[in-house]
Amino acid sequence: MESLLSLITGMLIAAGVYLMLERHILRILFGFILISNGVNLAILTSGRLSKTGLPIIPPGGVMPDTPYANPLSQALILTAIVIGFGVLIFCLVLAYKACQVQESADVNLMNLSEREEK
Amino acid sequence: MVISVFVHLLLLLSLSSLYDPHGVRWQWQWVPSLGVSFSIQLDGLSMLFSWLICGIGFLVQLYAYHYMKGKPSSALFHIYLTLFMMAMLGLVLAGNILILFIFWELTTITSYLLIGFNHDQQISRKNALQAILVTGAGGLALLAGLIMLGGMAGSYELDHIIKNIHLIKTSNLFLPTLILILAGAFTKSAQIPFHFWLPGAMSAPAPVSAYLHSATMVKAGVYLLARLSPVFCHSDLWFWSLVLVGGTTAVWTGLLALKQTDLKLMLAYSTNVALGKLMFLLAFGSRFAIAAAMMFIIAHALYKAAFFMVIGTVDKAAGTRDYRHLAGLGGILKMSFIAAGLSALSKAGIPPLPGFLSKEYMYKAALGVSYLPTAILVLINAVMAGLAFIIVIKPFLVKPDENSVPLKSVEKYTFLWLPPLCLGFLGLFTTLFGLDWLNATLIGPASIAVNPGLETEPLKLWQGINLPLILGGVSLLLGLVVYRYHDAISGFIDQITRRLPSGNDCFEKVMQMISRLASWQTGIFQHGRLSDYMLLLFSILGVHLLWYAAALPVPRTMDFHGVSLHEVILAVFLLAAVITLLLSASRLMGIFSLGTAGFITTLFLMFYNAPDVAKTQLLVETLTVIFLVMVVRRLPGFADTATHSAVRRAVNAGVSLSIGVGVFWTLTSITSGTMDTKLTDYFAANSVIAAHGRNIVNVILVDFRAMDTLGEISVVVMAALGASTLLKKRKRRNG
Amino acid sequence: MRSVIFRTTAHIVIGIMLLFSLYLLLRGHNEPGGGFIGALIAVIAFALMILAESAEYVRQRIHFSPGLIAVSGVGISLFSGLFALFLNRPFLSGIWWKTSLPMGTPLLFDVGVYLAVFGAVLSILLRIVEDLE
Repeated sequence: MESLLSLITGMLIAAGVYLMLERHILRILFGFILISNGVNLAILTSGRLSKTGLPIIPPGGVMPDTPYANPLSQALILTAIVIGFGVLIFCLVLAYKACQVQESADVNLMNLSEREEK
Repeated sequence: MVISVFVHLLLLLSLSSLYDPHGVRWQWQWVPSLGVSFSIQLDGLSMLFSWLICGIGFLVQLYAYHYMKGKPSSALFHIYLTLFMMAMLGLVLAGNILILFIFWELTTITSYLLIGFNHDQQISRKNALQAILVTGAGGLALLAGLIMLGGMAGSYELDHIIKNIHLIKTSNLFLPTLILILAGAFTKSAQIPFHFWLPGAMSAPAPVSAYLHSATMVKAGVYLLARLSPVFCHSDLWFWSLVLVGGTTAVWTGLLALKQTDLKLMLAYSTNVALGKLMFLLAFGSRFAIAAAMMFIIAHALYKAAFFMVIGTVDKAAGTRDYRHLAGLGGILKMSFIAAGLSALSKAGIPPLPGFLSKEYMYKAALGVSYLPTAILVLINAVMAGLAFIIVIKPFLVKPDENSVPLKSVEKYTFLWLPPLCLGFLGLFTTLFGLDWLNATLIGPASIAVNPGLETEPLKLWQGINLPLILGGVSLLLGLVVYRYHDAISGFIDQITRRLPSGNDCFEKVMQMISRLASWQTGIFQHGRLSDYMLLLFSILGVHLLWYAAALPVPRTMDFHGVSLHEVILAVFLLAAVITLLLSASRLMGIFSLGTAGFITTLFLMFYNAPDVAKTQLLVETLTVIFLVMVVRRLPGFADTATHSAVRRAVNAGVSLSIGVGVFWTLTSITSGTMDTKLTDYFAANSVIAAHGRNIVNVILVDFRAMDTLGEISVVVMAALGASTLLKKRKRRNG
Repeated sequence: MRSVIFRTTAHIVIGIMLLFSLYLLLRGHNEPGGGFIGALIAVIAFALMILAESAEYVRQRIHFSPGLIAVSGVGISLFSGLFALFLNRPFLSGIWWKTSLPMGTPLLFDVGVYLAVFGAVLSILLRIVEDLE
């Protein structure tokens, strides 16, 4: 089971890295999103996978009944997703502003720290 | 100003009251985990230096009061001077070598502020920078040396180190440690080849030169070597490097001093000479040598500080420090003349001044070794005597002629002449009336601190007619010869030195080379093409991932057990979505396939029993698409932007594939091993009992690991604030 | 796009979504849900409101600046952790009044998370929409 998700993770990250190496800033953002997804899956996989039980204790119980999915990796992913989302939105705004200032979406042209006075 | 003077006196008194010739220690825990404690050690050597630092500091502050009067930021000057004094005092009182190092660096920094005090002049800034670079580089070497020393001895406490000399001697780090510590001391004490920064530092105001470059800072290197001499003094390298470096410095800078026309520079080079001589004496390590060194430290501090102050006053009176244009000062600066005269007599080594006493014992020590060092010492002392005569006779006693500049009287300012005069008489009275006291409280205990095995012998002013006395006379006569034929000698030295590169030039060349190297490598690495930076980072990551994944020592097994058909189908769909994304030529197509990929990922999270994660992922994916669609219309299209060449795309593909394979391989290695479920079990077992929640994931987030979540929401809020300011700023500029 | 039907239904849907988001927040401790999920649903509800009305309208309806909501969310979470300090327990330890009902500092903490995420994401959303106009 883990091998399938490992393959998917590897694929997502490889595609994400390829996109991050491109020159158009939107494609770099795409790459960022794919890598985030891949990393989330990687955390899930390394916490082992389970199809048998939810990490939720039934009412009245003190322990999950069946062998349950790892709650720790899930909690870590939740944190990672929200942080990743926050940073992504920041990057998106940054990219949008950078495009406006440089009048281009090519990151290789974005090498001025200050806008040149015209 | 009043406060800083008061601080000096107070410290002097309190230290004296705490002082015990056998040494006292205080210790406070500071960084216990690193074994660093703030310890203070007050023994003979520390007390000797503390007296000089506080006493001369006090007089220099008084002098600076009138010297800097009326200049802007004179209050700042007194603050810097007091800070420097504190740093220097900390240095000589430190009982822990790391504390010592911290104060060592503080003296470097505060001296930088003082040397560059006239920061509106370019030469001041340049020389201050030179001083901090040379001494700072030496400081780094010293730090490495001290850490190794502490490592060898098992403690950074000075008394431990001195007790565990046997551990240090047998260690194979002994040699590098010694070399590094010597490098630190030689840079600080301006020994060849680092001697050039000291004359350069003469661009500082006169009180700074009087204090830092005679009595205190440059002696820090001497202090350090004296302090650590019990550890190293049995080594041959110690002896030969001190003798050779000290001797060369003394002779060479002595010659350079003779060719100077600026009196202040002449004094600066003669300080180099004195420091070289001290190194020379420390190398011998015999009881006469140590006693001579201690006496010479006192004598030199007294006369050199006085000299610098007098030259500062001369500069005020005449507007120049060039002795060729100075004459007849004795008539106007009467008090300064007396101070300078006493100092010159001491420097030349005429009884009964302290300089004479140190010279006597110097010869005694040298005769105990062999004739060659004795001859060198005679030569050095002759140069010193000659310099003393030049500095006093030429400006003060010679009658004015058409070359001399007009003078104005400045002795109405008490503090311009009183402090140097005090220093002059202090030397005289100490040797005449206070020698017994000096022997018992300072020189004896200090000598024991430098070399614990020594039997000390009290210094005596008159020891009858013997070889040292005769040698003293000889060097005095030679000094008169030097004075008489000064013009010829300085012309001759000028001829020689002009052909040799000066230390200053070498320093400039090295600095130029460093900045050329820096701009060369900046051009290579910081070319401004962001996607190349990315490629570099990712290729390094890829190589490391593959490397470590391959090196993980676990058996790797593929496990497709329990995979159902719809998962495989979804995986294929995911692949298709990703490929569409990679190939998409339009922005909206890209967002669409990206969203598809995200939603398929969500489904996988559902399959593997992660309901909270799946829901969050679904919502985040939705919001991401909303944001992207909103912004994408304002971005240029894919077709409007240049793409990489085919070759570069192939390289990119290779790098990204290697990272993908590396991730896959690492994950397979991780999942092939056994899983430690201790934490998971704990959370599951305590979720209801301790935290009253049945959703374990949520309990972990808001209770067990709430600190993580707190950090996380702070990050999200900060990202939002950052994005808001970006958008806001732009708006204001447009409006 | 801004037809009367869309606007009317939008308001109903938004109301239901906000209720649902609060429900998810409150039940999060025992069933799937919680502060993050609730907040994200609330943001999507307001995104819908932006489409149906305008960014300005949304700003008026929520009264407080979203940035302020976000910061006060972090503040509430921090504050909920301080309770434990009074009882001489480590920062952020859960303190419960009633164990049968979700009445304890972890719930307060989750409310803080809800407000922080909601305020942060909504503030950027509004700014971008305003910037684009």
